[in-house]
Amino acid sequence: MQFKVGLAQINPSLGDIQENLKIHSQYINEAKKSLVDLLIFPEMSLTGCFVGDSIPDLALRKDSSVFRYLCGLSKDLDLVISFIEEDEDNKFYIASAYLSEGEVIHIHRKIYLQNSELPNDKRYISQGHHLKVFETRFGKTAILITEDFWHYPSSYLLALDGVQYVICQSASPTSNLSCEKIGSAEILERLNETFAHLFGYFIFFANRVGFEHGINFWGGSEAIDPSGKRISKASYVDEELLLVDVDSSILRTNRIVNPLLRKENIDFVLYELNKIRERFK
Amino acid sequence: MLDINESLTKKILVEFIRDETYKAGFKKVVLGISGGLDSSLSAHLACQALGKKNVFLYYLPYETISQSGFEHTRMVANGLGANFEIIDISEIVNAYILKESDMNKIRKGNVMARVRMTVLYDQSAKNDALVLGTSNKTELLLGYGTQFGDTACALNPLGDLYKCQVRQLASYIGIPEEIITRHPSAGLWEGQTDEGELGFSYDEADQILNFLFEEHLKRDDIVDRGFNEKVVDRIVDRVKGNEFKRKLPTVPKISKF
Repeated sequence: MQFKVGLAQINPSLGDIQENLKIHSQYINEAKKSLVDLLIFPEMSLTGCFVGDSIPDLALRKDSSVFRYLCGLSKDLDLVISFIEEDEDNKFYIASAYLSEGEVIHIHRKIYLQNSELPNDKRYISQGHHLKVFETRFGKTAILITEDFWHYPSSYLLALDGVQYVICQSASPTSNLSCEKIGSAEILERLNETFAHLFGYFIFFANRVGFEHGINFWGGSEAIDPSGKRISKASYVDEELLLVDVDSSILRTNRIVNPLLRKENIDFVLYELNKIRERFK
Repeated sequence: MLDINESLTKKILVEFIRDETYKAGFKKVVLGISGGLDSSLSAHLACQALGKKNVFLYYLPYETISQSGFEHTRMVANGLGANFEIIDISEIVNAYILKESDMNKIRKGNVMARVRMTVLYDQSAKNDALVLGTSNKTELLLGYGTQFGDTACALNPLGDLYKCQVRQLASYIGIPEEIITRHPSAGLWEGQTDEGELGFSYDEADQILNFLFEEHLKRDDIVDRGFNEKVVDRIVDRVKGNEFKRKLPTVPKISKF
C-alpha cells in the first residue's frame, strides 16, 4: 500500500484552544491540497505545553463541541491530535486521539509523565496505564507521547503486539546546543532509527516548534522506515508541514530479513521480569 | 565542550526575542549599551529579530566617560542603524549619593546600575517597548550583577550562554574584534574590570561552571582536573551566595497550594 503522511510541525498558542483550532484547520487545508491521507500533530497541539493551573479549564471530554468539530475535519483525511482529556471521573490526562471518517478510533493516554520544573503535569495529570495497537485503514497503528517512547519497553511491547506504524507525538525541548547539533535531537534521532530497525516498524515522529517560558522546541519531525532509514526530515526550529510518502511493502521485506521479532521469547522475558520484581519487593 | 553551533544558536535567540516580545503584546525593545561585548551582541540580535527601527539603544554614562567605551558604543549604534540616545545619569545619581557620606564604591556602583534601570524602564514606557537584558550565564551564576539593576529586564536572550559562548557567537556575527577582546567591565568606577574584581578569568570560570552545572562534577573532581582549589571554592561560594539574585522575590505560600 502507498499512502501519504503529513507531520504538522506547528507552534501552538499557549492555553488558547480557539487559536490552535485555527492553526489545525490551516494545516489540514494545506495537507488536503497535498493529498495527505494521515496528518499527525505534536504533543498537546490543542493547548500548548506549560499550561499549569489552566489544565482543568482546557480539558476536553470526548463529547465536547471541539472534539465533534475535529471529527468532522477527519472525513477527508485521518487526523492525530493531542489534547488534555477529562474522563467521566473528572481525571485529567495528556492524551492523543486518532480520528478517521468522522469517528474517534482510539485515544491514547500518556503513560510516562515528564519531570518538569514548571508547575504542570504532576499536580493535575493522571497517568495512562495501557498501550494499544489499533486497526486503521493503513494497518496496525499505535500512538506514543514523548516520554512514552523514551522508555523502550513501550516500543518493545508494541512490536510484540504486531504494530506496523508507531505515531510518536512529541514536545521535545532544545537542549545541549553543542557545536555539532542539538543534543536532544541527536539522541531522539538515534532512538528513532534504532527502534524502527530493531522492531521493524515505521515511526512517524511529529515534534513542535516555538517557545514557552523561554524553552525552545526543536522541531526536526521525521519519518523512519522499518530498515531504520530516515525517509523524510523537517527543518529544525521552523514551522513546517512535512510530507512523507509511505510504501508499506517495506514492512514485509524487513520482517523477512530481520529475524529478531520472530525469535522473541515472551515467557523468558516474563520470567526474568518477575524475578527482578521479586528482588525489589 | 563549550563550543556552540553558532548559526543555530543565533537563529534560536533571534526567534526568542521576536516570539517573546510579540507574545507580550509589544513590537519594540529598549536596552542599555556600554560598548561592551554582551550589550553589543544583544543589540545586534534585537535588530535582527525586530528590525532596527524597533530597537532603542541607550548609552547611560556617569561622570567619567570611558573614551573607548563611548567609541565602541558609537560603532555599534552606527553600524546597526537603530535608534540611539545618550542620557547622562550623573545628576540623578549624585542627587542621592552626595547626601550619603562614606558611601563605598560598591554602593555607588549599585545606585548607578539601578538608576540606569529606572531610565530604561521609563524609556520603555515612553516607547511602548520591553526592556531587553544583556546579562550572560556566567554573570548570572556568579551573581555578578546588581539585583534589580542591570539584571532587571523583561527578557534576556544571552542568559543561557557562558561568556566564552557569547564571545564565540559575537565573533560569528561579526561584532568588531576590538569589542570582543576588550576587558569586560561594568564601568561602575574608574579602572574597574570584571576579572579584576572577581579574582579569576572568565575562561576559568566558564570551565568550572560547566563542570559544576552541565557535567555535574563534584568540587574535588574539578580540582583533580588541575584547577586551583581556591578559585573553585570561590566560584562555588559565589554561586551559592548569590542564588537569591536569580529568584523572584520569595512569597510565603499560605493560601491554596
